[in-house]
Amino acid sequence: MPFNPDSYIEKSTASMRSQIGAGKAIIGLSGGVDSSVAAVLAYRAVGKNVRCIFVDTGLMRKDEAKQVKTAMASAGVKMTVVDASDIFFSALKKVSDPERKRKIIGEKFIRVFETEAKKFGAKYLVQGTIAPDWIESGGGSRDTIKSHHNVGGLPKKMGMALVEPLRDLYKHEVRIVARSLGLPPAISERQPFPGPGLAVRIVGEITPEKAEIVRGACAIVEEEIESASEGGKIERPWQYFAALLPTKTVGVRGDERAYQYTVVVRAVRSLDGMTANFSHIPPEILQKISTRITNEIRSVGRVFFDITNKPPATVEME
Amino acid sequence: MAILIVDMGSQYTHVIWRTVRDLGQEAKIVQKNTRPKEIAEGSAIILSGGPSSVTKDNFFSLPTQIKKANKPLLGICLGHQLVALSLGGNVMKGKSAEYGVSKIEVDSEGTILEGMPKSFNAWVSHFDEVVKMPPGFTQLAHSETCGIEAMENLEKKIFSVQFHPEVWHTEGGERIIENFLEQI
Repeated sequence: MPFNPDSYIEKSTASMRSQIGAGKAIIGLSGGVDSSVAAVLAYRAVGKNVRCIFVDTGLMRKDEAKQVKTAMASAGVKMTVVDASDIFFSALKKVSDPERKRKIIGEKFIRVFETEAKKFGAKYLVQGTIAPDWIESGGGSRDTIKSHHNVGGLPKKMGMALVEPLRDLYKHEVRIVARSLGLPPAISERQPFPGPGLAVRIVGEITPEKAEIVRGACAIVEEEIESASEGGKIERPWQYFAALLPTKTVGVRGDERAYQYTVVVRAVRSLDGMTANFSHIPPEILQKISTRITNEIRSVGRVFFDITNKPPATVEME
Repeated sequence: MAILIVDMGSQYTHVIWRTVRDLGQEAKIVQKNTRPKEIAEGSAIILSGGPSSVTKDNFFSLPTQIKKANKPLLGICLGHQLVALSLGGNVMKGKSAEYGVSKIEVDSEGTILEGMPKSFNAWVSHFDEVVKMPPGFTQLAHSETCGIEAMENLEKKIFSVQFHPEVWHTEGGERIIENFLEQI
């Protein structure tokens, strides 16, 4: 039978209620559709006994915390913002290996949740983990394609249990549930955003300066792609963003030599994130994006468009 | 009785499960060391793809209990190669690998490709390929890079494809899986 959101909602809230019982839970909210759906389901299951935490890692997008707070408020969900940017930047200093970045970020999230859980007296951590997360993290006969930050299990000494109501779902199914729950389109139709945030959109070492660059470039890509799709010029891609490469190349600006950063623009078409093809964006739109990036972000001198499918590439750079 | 999906380590094993479910049938994912008793309780077997290489890792054969199972069998990607190798065919490293889109040319619809257009885009992810089919098999399709993209032995109800019919990007992939389900 095709996926039925109402019976799924009934089953998962009942299951969460029985798992959490009279206890308390916290949930890590990123503003993405997965954690938002998990949060609403958790509220339906145990009401006041769940607290929603938005961790600002310093690697979120432009105005993200503010936008998420507003969108969730319209769904009746209150959230606490925890500023942990210092913790994340210092833990990631000098780290280039993508798997190490993911492991470090996973660890730091756990530390922050541990602190918040203690404050609230929570013994349960609700996560919006979905099928591709645990599939790509390996296990059994599967290779580890990339370690998802929310798949690593909780350290025993934390004394907390994991609750993952969305484990068997894929993104398109989560969206069906989100619409059924009455979440606003700002959440239900929001494009996927990686848990490690902009950390995996900075190839190589991460610094606050690079985070600012890629944050600005992502905002430009999102604005231009969304405006083109709202104007009917293109189909809205599954995922669209900018990433920063570590290599600089030579340029010429106003008759002077320049030696600056390279940004990759990525836009893909997919249903479930498991396979994807690069979006066929018309050249005029690519030109608008490229021109805005090099005009407005003065440290970026060159822009590439990623023309690789998944497989052999993944959607994100890391 | 559920359709058994043997997990050989593919990224898409769970997607096979989801596709069979969306087609209205019950499916169960089992491990490759599944017991004969578990196989006996299934109505058919689908072998997923996986990361191993039959030529590199000395991987070689269908687990005996699956070979002896006598149930309708669909092999996908690595599953297709294992079917070939276990029943008297041969698998070798291809001249070129294929990842992402590949244009499949249908030589004969047979059963498994019934209703498919003469050529369609499929999603692939492999380097090894079947170079010789087992006796009793008919070739159904090829691509520019890979000679045997689909084959079947209707009498024995064994079907196999090199590409991934279960993913969204394979045009008409769901039809192919439906064709297999009709053989059960």
